[in-house]
Amino acid sequence: MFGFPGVRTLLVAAVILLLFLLTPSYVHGTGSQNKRVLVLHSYHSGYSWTDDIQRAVIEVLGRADDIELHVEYLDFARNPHQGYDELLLELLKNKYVPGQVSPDVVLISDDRALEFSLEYRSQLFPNVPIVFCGINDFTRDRIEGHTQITGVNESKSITETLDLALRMNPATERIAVVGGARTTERYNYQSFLAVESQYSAEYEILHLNELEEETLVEELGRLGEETVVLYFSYMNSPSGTAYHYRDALRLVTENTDSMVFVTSDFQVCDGAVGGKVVHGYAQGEKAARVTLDILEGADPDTIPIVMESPNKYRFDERMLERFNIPDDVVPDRAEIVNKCPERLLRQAAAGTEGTFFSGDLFDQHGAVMLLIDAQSGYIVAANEAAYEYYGYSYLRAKNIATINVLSQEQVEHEMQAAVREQRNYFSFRHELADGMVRDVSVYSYPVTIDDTELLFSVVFDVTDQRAAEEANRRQAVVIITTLTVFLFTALTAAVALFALMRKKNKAEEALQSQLRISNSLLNELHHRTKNSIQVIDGFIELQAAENRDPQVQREYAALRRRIATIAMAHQRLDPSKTLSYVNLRDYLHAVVSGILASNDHAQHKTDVCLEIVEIDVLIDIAVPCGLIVNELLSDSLQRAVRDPSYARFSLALRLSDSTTIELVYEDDRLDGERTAGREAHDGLGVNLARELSQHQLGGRFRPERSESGGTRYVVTFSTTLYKDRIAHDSTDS
Amino acid sequence: MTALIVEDEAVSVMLFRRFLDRLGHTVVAATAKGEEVQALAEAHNPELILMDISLAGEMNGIEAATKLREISDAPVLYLTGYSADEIRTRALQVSNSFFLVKPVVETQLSAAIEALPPSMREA
Repeated sequence: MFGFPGVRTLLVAAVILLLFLLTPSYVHGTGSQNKRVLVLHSYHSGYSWTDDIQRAVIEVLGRADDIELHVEYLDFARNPHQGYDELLLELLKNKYVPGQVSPDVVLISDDRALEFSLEYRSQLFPNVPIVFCGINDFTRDRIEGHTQITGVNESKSITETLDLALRMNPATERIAVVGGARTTERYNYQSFLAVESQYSAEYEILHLNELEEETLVEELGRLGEETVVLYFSYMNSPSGTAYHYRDALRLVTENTDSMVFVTSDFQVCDGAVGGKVVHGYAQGEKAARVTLDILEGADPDTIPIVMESPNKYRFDERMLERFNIPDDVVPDRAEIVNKCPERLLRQAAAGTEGTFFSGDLFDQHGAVMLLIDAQSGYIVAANEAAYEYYGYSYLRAKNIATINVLSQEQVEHEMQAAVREQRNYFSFRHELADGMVRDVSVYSYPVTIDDTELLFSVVFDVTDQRAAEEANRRQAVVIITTLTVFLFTALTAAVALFALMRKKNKAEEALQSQLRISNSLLNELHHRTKNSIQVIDGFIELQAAENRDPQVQREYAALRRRIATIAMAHQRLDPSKTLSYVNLRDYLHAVVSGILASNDHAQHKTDVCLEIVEIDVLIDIAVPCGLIVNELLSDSLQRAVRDPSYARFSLALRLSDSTTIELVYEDDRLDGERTAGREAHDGLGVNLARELSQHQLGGRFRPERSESGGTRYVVTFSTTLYKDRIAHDSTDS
Repeated sequence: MTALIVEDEAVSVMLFRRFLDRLGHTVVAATAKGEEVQALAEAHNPELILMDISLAGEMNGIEAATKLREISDAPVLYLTGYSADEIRTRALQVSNSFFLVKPVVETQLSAAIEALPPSMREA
């Protein structure tokens, strides 16, 4: 039944479409601008050959920002069992799904990975260009039926290596060929067989291929120095035992006295002499460059396969030395690994012959001089000063690293520091023969002798200088520390002083505040005193108004004058002198004026003469003085009232010495009833004056008859009888 | 002259009233509070104000005199127990003001009134 699709069906379809559209695409060109390269290595990471290829791939392709590398180590050497290929296929099919995670180029190293890739190419990455390297003795039939494929051939340099081996060991009588049961190993052996006839006429050929370990070791033990061994590899025994490539190599080199020559770069170690070797890095580098061309648009079918294997000579110098192989047999520009000092020394001796380094100037120079191999660190020449300085029985062939006590990391750090600081010397620490460690400055200059890079180093002992610098630094630290402590102490003291001053200021402020309060209190007290006196005066005035008796009125008036006299002293207290002092001259003038103004003297002629010294006295002195003057003057005026003729009064007050005041009051009124000195006849006023003089002032009161016949009173008293009660504390008063 | 007495001590008011009476002046009003000065001055237009400084109420004599100046130029004669320079200086900042320290006797008051400028005395 067909009909229009339902709404539900349309919704489901829309969701599926949406999901499809939103699913991230990993297909190159649709979702990413990066180009993807899948690297398939036949072997594993850690296998020197493969590592060298990978290093080159990264060097060439890994630097490009727009290239994404996927690396798979197919690990065939360690997994020779059946069924492994199928497992790998499933794995890769799931990881690299065509149309989703699809490489733009597949780069393959070594035969097994190529065989595997070609077999399953249509399932894994159909039509994706392939670049190979490390393919042994490549022929076109290896890729028959395939397009979009190119790469780099790997061919063992069997004849070059054997030819060189025979030159290095002229006593050779036999050539032994060692190989394992691995496909590549078998293939290599086949390659030898192809050239065997070139040597079999002159040398005995021993075929030590595909032997079990025990047999192999036994055979190797029979070989002598007249045999050269051509070793391909022995990573798989016929019975299927897998060996690490270095274990396999050592199995051979350690069980024979023969020179062992190899055909792969990673095999130049562990006792092998060397050879013209296939070069992993060179293979990887060439393949990566071809890959780069394809990524940039080149058609793989038009790129020719590199048939000339990029092989290089490589030798282990320790083996060259062990077998006394002369330098002239070693090809120029051969890579030398594991340099050994003896050989270096020999080369250096030959290279420096006739130069500065072989002459007296070098040998007898006072400065410590060394000639060091830049690559290995071996000393190849040292002058007498160096021997004397270091004290070692030998310096030549000694590695500078055994003298320099700094770690490799410290040495590198120092070298970087020297570059950074633009100095032409290094600061190291060298150990002498007696165990002493000295600070040295090493001035190094590069010298090239026979293609060997050497460092001409002049060494200066700077231990004393460093010690002096250190002493100076310590002294500076001590000085700085002392200064810091001093400054800190000074600062602390300053802060403390500042705090103290602030405290003192605060105390002073508090004192001033207290003083202001005290002054306010004192002012207020005086204000109330004066107000009270005013009120008392008012009471008396009002009371006096109630009685019209003239005598009573006079007595009230006398009373009010006495009160007014006291009040005037209070009015004149000097605020600047603790409100305790009164200007006596001003005060007595006011007292006299007040008395004269309040009496009826205006109706009489009076002549008042005042001669009063300018002096400030305590109110304790001023008030009795004022009252004495009041009493005496009032007395005179009373008598003048009874004799209303011309009256003359005089008041003199002077200092007889610095602390003694003499008050002289005199009038011209004769009082027939009174004779000076007769106290019984004196009225209240004169008696008050006497008592005030003698009792309150502690002085003398002396009435006299004046020259004019009138009365004179001489009062003498000290100004020191009283103390300033406010200025002194309570214990003083 | 007509006078207004501003003084919180009743006895002092009576005393000053008697002084003024004897000196030939007329007391038109008296108050213990500075706040009432302006109103009394407006009401009685006194020609002289005897002004204590410490008063009942919130306003002191100096503040009352200052307020008075808004409506009257009548001379102000402070009669006070305060003698400190600071208070004297502040009090005398009010125009046409004079200062006597208590206790004041009649002759002093008389002399002070006599010392007023003639225009003020005749006002």
